[in-house]
Amino acid sequence: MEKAFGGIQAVDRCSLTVLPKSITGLIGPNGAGKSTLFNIIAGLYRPDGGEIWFDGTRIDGLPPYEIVHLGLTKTWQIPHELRNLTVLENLVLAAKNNSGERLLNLFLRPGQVKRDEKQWRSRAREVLKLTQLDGLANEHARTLSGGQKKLLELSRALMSDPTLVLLDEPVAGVNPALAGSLMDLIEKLRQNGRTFFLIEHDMNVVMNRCDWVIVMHQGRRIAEGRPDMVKADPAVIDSYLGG
Amino acid sequence: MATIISSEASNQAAGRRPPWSEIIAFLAIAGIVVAGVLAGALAGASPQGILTNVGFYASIAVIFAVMALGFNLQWGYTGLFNAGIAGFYLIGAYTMAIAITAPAPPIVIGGIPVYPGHLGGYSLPLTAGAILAMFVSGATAAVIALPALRLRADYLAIATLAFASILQVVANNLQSVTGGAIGITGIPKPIEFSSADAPFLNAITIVGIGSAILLLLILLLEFMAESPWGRVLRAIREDEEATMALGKNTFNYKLQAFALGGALMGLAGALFAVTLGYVSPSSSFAPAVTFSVWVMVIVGGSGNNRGAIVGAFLIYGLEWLSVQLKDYVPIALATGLPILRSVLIAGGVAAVVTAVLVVVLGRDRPTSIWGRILEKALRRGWGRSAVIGALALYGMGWVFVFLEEHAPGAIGTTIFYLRLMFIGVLLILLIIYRPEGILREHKRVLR
Amino acid sequence: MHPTARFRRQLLQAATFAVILVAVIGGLSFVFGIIVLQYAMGGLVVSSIVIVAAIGLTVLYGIRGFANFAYGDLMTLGAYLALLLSLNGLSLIWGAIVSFLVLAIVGILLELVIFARLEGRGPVPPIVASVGVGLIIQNGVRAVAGTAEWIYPVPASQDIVIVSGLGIHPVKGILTLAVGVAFVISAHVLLKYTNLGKAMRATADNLELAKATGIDTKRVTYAAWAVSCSFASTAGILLGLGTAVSPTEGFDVILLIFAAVIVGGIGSPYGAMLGGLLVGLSQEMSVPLLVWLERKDVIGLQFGSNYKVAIPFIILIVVLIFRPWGIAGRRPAFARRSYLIERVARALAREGTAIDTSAGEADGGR
Repeated sequence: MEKAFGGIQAVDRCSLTVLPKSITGLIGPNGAGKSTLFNIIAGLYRPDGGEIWFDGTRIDGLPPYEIVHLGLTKTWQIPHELRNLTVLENLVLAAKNNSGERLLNLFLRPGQVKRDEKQWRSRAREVLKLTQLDGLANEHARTLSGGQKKLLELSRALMSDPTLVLLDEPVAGVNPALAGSLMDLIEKLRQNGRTFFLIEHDMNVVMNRCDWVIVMHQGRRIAEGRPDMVKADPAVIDSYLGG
Repeated sequence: MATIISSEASNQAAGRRPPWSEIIAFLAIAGIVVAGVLAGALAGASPQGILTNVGFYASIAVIFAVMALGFNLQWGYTGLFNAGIAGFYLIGAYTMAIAITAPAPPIVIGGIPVYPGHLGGYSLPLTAGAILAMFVSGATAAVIALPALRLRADYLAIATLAFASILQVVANNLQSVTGGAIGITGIPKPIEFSSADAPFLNAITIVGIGSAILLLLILLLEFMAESPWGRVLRAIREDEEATMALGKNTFNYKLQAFALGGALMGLAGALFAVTLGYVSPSSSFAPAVTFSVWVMVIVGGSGNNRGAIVGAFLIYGLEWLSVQLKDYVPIALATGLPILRSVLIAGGVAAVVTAVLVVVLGRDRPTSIWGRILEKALRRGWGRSAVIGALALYGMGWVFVFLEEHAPGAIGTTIFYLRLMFIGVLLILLIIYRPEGILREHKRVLR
Repeated sequence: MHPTARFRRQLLQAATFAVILVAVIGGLSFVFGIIVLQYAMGGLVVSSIVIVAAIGLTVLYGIRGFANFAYGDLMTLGAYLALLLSLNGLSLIWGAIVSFLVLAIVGILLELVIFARLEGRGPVPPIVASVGVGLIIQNGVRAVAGTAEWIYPVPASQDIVIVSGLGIHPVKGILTLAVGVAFVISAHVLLKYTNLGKAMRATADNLELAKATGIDTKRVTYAAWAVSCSFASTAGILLGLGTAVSPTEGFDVILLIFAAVIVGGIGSPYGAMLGGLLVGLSQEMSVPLLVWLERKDVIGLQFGSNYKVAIPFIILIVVLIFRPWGIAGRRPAFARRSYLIERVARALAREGTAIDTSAGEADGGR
């Protein structure tokens, strides 16, 4: 998969490529435009120039829901959980092609609706088991702690069976043990064929878990390479110190 | 925040608590009806007349309930704040009128057009007219939605308000289509009764039809709301961006909810046309109708269909009651003034005594009955509100007495407007302190 | 504070607008006769009232961030207060001044008692609360003063004829215009030259930044409410002078005022002036056009001139669709996308030109 960009003030002529089945990290000082980049890729913002290609398809300008259908999902840096819905509902909403979500199907194909709903609910429970949230399935999402909300974000991103997942600070605010098992999970999923592109400030995670690191500063890509190479790159050090 | 958590806690702890708020709501509605009946009886109306009056209340309340259900779908579930409810109502009413009346050419007497005539007069059967009304309002809502739904909430409110106002201007002036300021008359009733009991029987028929429609609607809407489709709507209300990022085409859903809501408002308009027998662009379609529906849904709790219906019956009940009282209150106050005064004095003394007892005896003895009452009253918010409410009512009683002594007869007409002011106050209090409404939304649990 | 470059650009825009306006009116009256000027005059009078009201509304909208649906009823309240005083012996001028001050206090009380509690709850709760306030005011007025219309006790006068076919009423016309101009100038002075005014502009521009730079936003909010409601009272009195004092006089025109505010750009008093001008003139000057439409050989529209009130609403809706931030507003950085419009635009573009969809700047190598 590859992406290439043009200008928007927060992201300025940034071009980069993410390889399939990798865990690629995106780092950079605050305000470098990383979250904005993710929002553009996911279709929430429109790039003023340039193109975005995903798996051979051009996706810039497409609305977010179509991009999700193509297999690209994103989590939010500040969790956007649906507060007054239960955890289970939050997850089931991430389902793809749940026939019950189309109004006509409710009346014309009730049987199919029931079946789909059942299927997605059990799948949601499976995902919740993976992220250890299954005990909270029927709680309203607003009662979750910060770390649990992050887990919810991740679970939702996994529901639609995505090819590429954009993770915006997936383990920020999560206790180290849980963060570790989360990253283990991501590694396992990567081995199953998924690609992860993550923004992180926690250098341990970046150094130990990412195959490849891209560095952004003031909207541009200033360096990329294997984690240990990037760590020693003077331009990168400069950006963090100087800004 | 605190209220949410505490009600959450009490919900979980109590499990099957009796639905106090619903019981109180039903009692309030019953009280309104009883008071209205009393007022009518004391004003000297016949039993037949009183029953017809109550029937009228029920039919209009049903119409408002249908509108409230439509608005609940748009705002309570999907978060679309529609300030142009009256516009869709108008479209439904006029469509129904045009569809089912007999042709009415202009009446010109001596070269002066007395009645401008109106479009249509296709004399379709009632059901066809109603379906057509729903379709036209729904379609209009869909068309409006295309540009309007991407506006943020306050812009949407202003745009829909402008839309409704334009419609009123058009209805008033497009005479050859809408009959101008006079409107369309002679709308046939469902069943034509010819006996002297006709008004009463008409009222009964409308109430019957209306209740059947309401029942059907509530079953349908609950089914749709609990479905996966309804879940997406609720998600959109929570956070539209997040829902989009989950892969939903939120615009489609908003469009569907808005159009369906509009169709329901059109249905209400169609029922209104049939109930009243005529439609005219007068106050029936003014923004006040829109605001009343807002109050009904807010009182009932947005997102709560049963609540919307209860809210409709409550709020319209107050309006109906104030009309009944308009006639009765002057008479009652004249004769009952001394009684009212003695009641107020006695009540005041009793209240002061009880308050003193409770506070003095209860403060240092938490386990005695006085202590428990005091503790309960102070801990729960309703204790304080009940006290404040009682004080307010008491004060109002004295105000009545003084006003009646110094300006006899003014109260009758004033009550009419006081009711609207009360609704304004209610709106403000609810939106500040209890936006989730008076009725509690039942907790949804997915198994 | 607005950067000077932007202000100069806006000033240039405003000047261009004024020149075009005068040219259009001049041209039309040259072609169609002096009656155009008469309608333009009427439009200016309406604009004056709308401008005064719109400045008040936009100040509150910009600083407090919500659409005050009670604004019309506040206008009505001001009008009735002045009426009450003038019926009891005070001259209307004094009545207007007292009403001005009282409404300022009312505004501050409203914020204190009601709207301060609704902070941070989104755009809808304040709208609902303002509807409640409006209901209370409108029906309180009805309860106390009845539903009939009242007329201000000013001596009746005739139109002053300027040229044949063009007349202006001394009170409804000249006074209204004069008051309008006076208020515009005072608003300008307030906003540009006083510390309070500068603080208000800064808060309207960016609330967080204003708080961070030490501006007492609470005081600014109260000031905004005071200015807003007192301008409302004057506008209501002018309206009552022009037509009559009735319980719904304010509410009837509230959409007109919203139109002026939105067309001009929420939060911008200068935008409100432009918007008011546009709205008032378009409403009045559409009458000849509508009358022309009444003719049977065109479309035979009945009561065409009655539709004049709908013209500003149509402008409002068009602006909301295509340029919701108005004339003087700024395009929000990440505007809500309309995927429908984008899709249509893309489809049209594809029809027109052949787009090279081969690989783009695949600069993403290692």
